[in-house]
Amino acid sequence: MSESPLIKLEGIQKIFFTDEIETWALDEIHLEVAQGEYLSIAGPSGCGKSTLLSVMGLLNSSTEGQYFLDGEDVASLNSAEQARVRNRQIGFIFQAFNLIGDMTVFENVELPLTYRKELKRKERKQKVQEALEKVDMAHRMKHFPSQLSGGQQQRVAIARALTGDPKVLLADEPTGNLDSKNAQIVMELLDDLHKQGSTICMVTHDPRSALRAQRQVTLFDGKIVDDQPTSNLRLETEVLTSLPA
Amino acid sequence: MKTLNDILLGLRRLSNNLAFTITSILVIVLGLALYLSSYSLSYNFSKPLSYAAGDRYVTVSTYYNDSEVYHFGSNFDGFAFNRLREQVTSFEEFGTYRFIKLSISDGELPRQYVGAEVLPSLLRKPGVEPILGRMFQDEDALPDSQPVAIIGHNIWQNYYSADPDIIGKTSRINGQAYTVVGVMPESFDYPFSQHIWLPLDTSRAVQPEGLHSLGVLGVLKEGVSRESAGAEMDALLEQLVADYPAYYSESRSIVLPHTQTFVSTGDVGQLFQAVTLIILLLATLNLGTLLFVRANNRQQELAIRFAIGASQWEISRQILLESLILCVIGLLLSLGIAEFALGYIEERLRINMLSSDFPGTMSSWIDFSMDARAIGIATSLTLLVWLASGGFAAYKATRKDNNSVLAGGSKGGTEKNRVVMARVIVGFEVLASTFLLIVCCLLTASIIAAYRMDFGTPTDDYYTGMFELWDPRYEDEGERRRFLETLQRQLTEQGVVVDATVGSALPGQGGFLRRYNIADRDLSQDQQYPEQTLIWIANNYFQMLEVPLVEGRYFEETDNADSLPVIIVNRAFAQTHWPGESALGKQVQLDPDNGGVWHTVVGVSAHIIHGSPLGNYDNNPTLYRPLGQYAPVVLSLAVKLNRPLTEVEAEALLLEAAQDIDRDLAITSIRPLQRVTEMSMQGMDMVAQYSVAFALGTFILAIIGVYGNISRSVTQRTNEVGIRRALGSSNRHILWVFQREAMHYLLWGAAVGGMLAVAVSGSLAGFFNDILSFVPTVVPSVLLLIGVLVTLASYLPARRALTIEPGEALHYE
Ligand SMILES: Nc1ncnc2c1ncn2[C@@H]1O[C@H](COP(=O)(O)OP(=O)(O)O)[C@@H](O)[C@H]1O
Ligand SMILES: [Mg+2]
Repeated sequence: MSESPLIKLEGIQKIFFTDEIETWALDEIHLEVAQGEYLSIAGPSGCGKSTLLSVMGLLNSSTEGQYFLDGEDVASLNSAEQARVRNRQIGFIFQAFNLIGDMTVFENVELPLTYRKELKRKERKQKVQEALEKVDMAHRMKHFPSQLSGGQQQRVAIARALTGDPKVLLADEPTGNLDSKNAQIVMELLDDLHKQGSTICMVTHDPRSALRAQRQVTLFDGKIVDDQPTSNLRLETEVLTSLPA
Repeated sequence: MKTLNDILLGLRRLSNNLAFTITSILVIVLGLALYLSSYSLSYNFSKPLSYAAGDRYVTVSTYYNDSEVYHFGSNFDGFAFNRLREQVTSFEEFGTYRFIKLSISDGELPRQYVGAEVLPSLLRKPGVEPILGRMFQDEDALPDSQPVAIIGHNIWQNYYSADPDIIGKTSRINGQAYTVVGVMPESFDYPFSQHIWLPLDTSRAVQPEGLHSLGVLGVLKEGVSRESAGAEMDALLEQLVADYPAYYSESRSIVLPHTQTFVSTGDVGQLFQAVTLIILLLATLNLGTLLFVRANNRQQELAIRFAIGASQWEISRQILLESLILCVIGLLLSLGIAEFALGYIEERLRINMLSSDFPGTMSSWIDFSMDARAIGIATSLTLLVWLASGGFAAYKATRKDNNSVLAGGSKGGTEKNRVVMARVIVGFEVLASTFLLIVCCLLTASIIAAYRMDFGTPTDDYYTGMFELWDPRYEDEGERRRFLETLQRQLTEQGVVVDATVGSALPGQGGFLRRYNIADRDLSQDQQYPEQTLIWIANNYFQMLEVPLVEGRYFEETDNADSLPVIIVNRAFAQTHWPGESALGKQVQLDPDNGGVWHTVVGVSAHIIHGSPLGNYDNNPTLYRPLGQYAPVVLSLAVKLNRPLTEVEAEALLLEAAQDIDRDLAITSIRPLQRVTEMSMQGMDMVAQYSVAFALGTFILAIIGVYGNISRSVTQRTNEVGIRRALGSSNRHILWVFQREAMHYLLWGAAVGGMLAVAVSGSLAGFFNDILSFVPTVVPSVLLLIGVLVTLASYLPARRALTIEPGEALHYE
C-alpha cells in the first residue's frame, strides 16, 4: 500500500550512563525494515543487538535520533501513547520467555488483550484460543509456566506475541535458552508466521537460524557494519559448515 | 576454632549491614520484651509465697449463688470454723484470721493501721522469727490472759520511733492497753499486708453466729490438690448446713492459692498474654523473612560456596549462626528492657493501688524483678524464635536451584508455591496486625474515656478521709450521728475549711447494693427484687459537692428519725422507673423481701459516679438516704478547702479534728478527692499504657513485616512490570494491578481480623462496659491505617519500577 518502510531508524544513538561510565550501546544507526520483511540481527555479544531491538520495541528510549513506525514518529510520543503502540503494533519474544509465573498459560496469552478495552471476554478467549492453536499449545491452557518445558514456554510466549495481531514481531535470541530440537520447532513457527505476512526482526547468534531470514544486519560496537540479503551468506555458511572440524 | 572464626565473621557481617541488624534486633526485642513484661505481670501477681511450702498456702472462702451473682469473702463464723478444723484432713494447718483496723493512740495523734486478729498457730506457721521479742503462744489467745500485740517493722520504726525497749511496754490500741511482745521483720506482711497482730481466740464461739467475718487460711498437706481440698470442704459444709439449717444456707467452697486471693490479673492478664503471644509470632515471622531475604540477597555467594563444595548443612550453619547472634543480642536487650518496664510498672502500681483500704494489693510477694523462671521462659522462647526463623531462612536458602543462579537465572517464572506461601505470610501479618491494633485501641479508648468521665463533681479543692465507728461507745446510732455532727462542725471551724460533709461513699467510692421495690408496680422478677447502690449522706452532701438537683429538694434538718422516711434518687433511677413523669412523691421500698420501710422520693439528683467509671456507672441508678434517719458505721469524710494543703497539713487537719472529739479515733486514707477518683480506676492507666505499647509494637512490626513483604514482592516483580509494559500496559493499569492485590490483603484482614477483634473485645464488655461503643471509630481508623500502609507498600515500589525503562526492568534481578 505505502511505499514507505514499516520501520525507519535515523541516526539512533543510545548511551547508558551507569556509575559515571558511559556505554555507547548504539551509535548512528540508520535502518529501514520493509513491510513483510524477515530481518536477522547478528554480531558479537555486547555489540548492542538487544539494545537495538529494545529501541525498536520502545522498551528503551534512544539518546539521539528519530524512529518512525509505519510513518509515525513514535519516539516522541508520551509514555501512555507508547504503551498503546507496544500493545497494538509490536509483539515481543524474549530469550528468557518472560512469562508471568503465577498466571496460567491462558492468562499469560490473554494479558496483552486485557489492555484493550474494546475487546469483550468472548472475543479475547477466541483470540487466545487461536494463538495457542497456532503454536500447538492449546492443550496446556490451564498449566502454569513452571509446569512446561522451555520449548513449550517459548511457544506460549510466541502465542502471546501473536495474539494481538502486531505489525512487527521482535524476537531477541528466541532459541537461546532452547535445545536444538525445540529451537527447530520455534524457528519453523517463525517461518510460518513470516509466510503468512508478518514482519519479523530477530536477534540471533546461530547462523543456521539467521539463514531463515531474508536479510541480515551485523552490528559491531554499536554500529552497523554489514547489511545484506542472506542469499549472499548462504554460500559462505555452507562452505564453513562443510569444512572438516 | 572454626566456630569462633565463624562467629567473628558473622559479627563482622552484621556490623557491615547495620540496617538489617538493627531491624532484626528491633523485631526480636519488640516480640520478646512485650511478651516478657505481660508474662511477668501475670506471673508476679500469682507467685507462691516465699515461705517453706509456700505453694501450698491456700485460702478457703465460701460463696453462695444469689441470682447468678456469686458472693464470696471472709464469711465463716467461729463455730463453723471450729467444727471444720476438727473434721478436715486435707490440711497441715487450718487456721483463721480476721482483718481489723487498729488505732494506736499513744502518741500525739491516733493512727490507724490494718491489722489482723490471728490464731497463734497460723501466725507461727511460716516460721518467721520476730526481730525483737517473741511470737504468740497458744496461751496468748486464752480469754483470761494479758492482752498482747505483735507489731510490724514499719509501725515500730514510724509510730514508736524504733524504740529499742519497745518489748514489754504497753500501748493503747483501740482504746485498750496491750503489751507489745514482738516486732516482726520488714517483709512480713502476713497473711495479707497486715502490720499489727492480736491473738484470736475461737474457743469462745460455741454457738453459731458468734465471732463472724473470719477468713480461713491454711496449708495443704503435701500431695493434696486444691480441688480435692475443695471437695472435702464442700462435703463438710453440706453436713454443717444439714445439721444447722437455721443458721447456715447452702454454699460452696472456693480454695484459692494464697497470693491470688485478692488480686489477680484475670481476663485482662490472659488477654495480654494472648496478645503478646501473637505479637511474638508476628516478630518471629518478620525475623524469618528478614533472614531469608538476606540469604536471598547473598544468593550468588551461597551458590558459589555450594559450587566449591559447601554442603547444604554448612550453608544452613552460616544462616543459623548469624540468626543466633541476633537472637542472643535481642534476648539480652529484651531482658534489660522488660526489667526496666517492670520497675516502672511496680512504681505505678505502688502509687496507684497501694491503699491500706484494700488488703493484699501490694504485698511483699508481689516483686516485679525478673527471676530465674522468667529468664528461663525468655531463653526458651528465644530458642524457639531462633529455630523457627533461622530454620525457615536456612531451609528456603538451601532449596534454591544453585545451578540456575550461577547460569544467570531462569525466567521461566516464579514457582506457584512460593507465591502462595508469601501471600499466606502477608495475609496472616495483615490479619494479626489488624486484630491486635483494633483490640488494643478499643481497650485504650475505653480506658481513656473512663478517665475523661465526669464524676459529677469538681474534685480540685477537696480532701477526703475515712473512719469507722465500731467502738462500743457508738453502738447507739444516735451517738454516731452526734459524732458526725460534731466532726462536721469542728472541721468547718478551721479557717482553711470552707465546708465539710460525710457520707457512706464519696464520688469514686462504691456503695452497698440494696434490694428495692416501687409502689407503682411490683418490680420482682422470678421472685427477686432488683438491687441498686444505696448511699447515706449528710444534708449538705450534694451542695458541697456541687451536685445540682433535677427536681425536688435536698435533705433537711427536719428529715430525722421521727419524721417521714425520705429518699433522693438520681436522674437515672427516676428515668428508669418513671420516664416522662415527675418522681417526686413516689414511694420506694427498701429490703422488700423482709417487708421493709416505704420511703417517699423528695428529690432527684444529677449523676455522680460511685465506684469505678469502668463499670456501667455512667447510667447507674442510685439511691440516697439522709444520715438524719440512719447513721451507718463505715463513713467517708470530705472537706472543701479555700487553699491547697500539703498531704502532711491535710493529715494533721483531719486527725486533730477527730482526736478532739474522740482521742482513739483515727481518720484513714487521707487523700485529695482527685486521688479517690483516680484510684477508682484500679490501675487501669497501666492497662491503657500496656495497650498503647502493644499497639505501637504491633504497628512497628506491621511496618517492617507488612510493608516490607508487600513492597519486596512488588519490587521482585519489576521484571513482570517490564513484561507488562512490553505488552503495552499503561502505567496506571500496572499500578492498579498491584493495588488490587494489596487490597485483597486488606479485605481479608478487615473481614477476619476485624471480626475476631470485635468478638474478643466484646467478651471484655463485662469489665470495659462501653468498649464496643468505640467500634465505629476505632475499626475504620485501624483499617484506614492498615489500608494506607498496604497501599503505600504496593504503590511506592510499583511507581519506582515504572521509572525504570521497560527494557531494563526486563533484566531486573
Ligand atoms: N541497562 C544497561 N545499563 C548499562 N549498560 C547497558 C545496559 N544494557 C546494555 N548495556 C551495555 O550496552 C552494550 C550493549 O548491550 P546489549 O545490547 O545487551 O548487547 P548484545 O545484546 O548485543 O549482547 C553492552 O556493553 C552492555 O553492557
Ligand atoms: Mg542480548
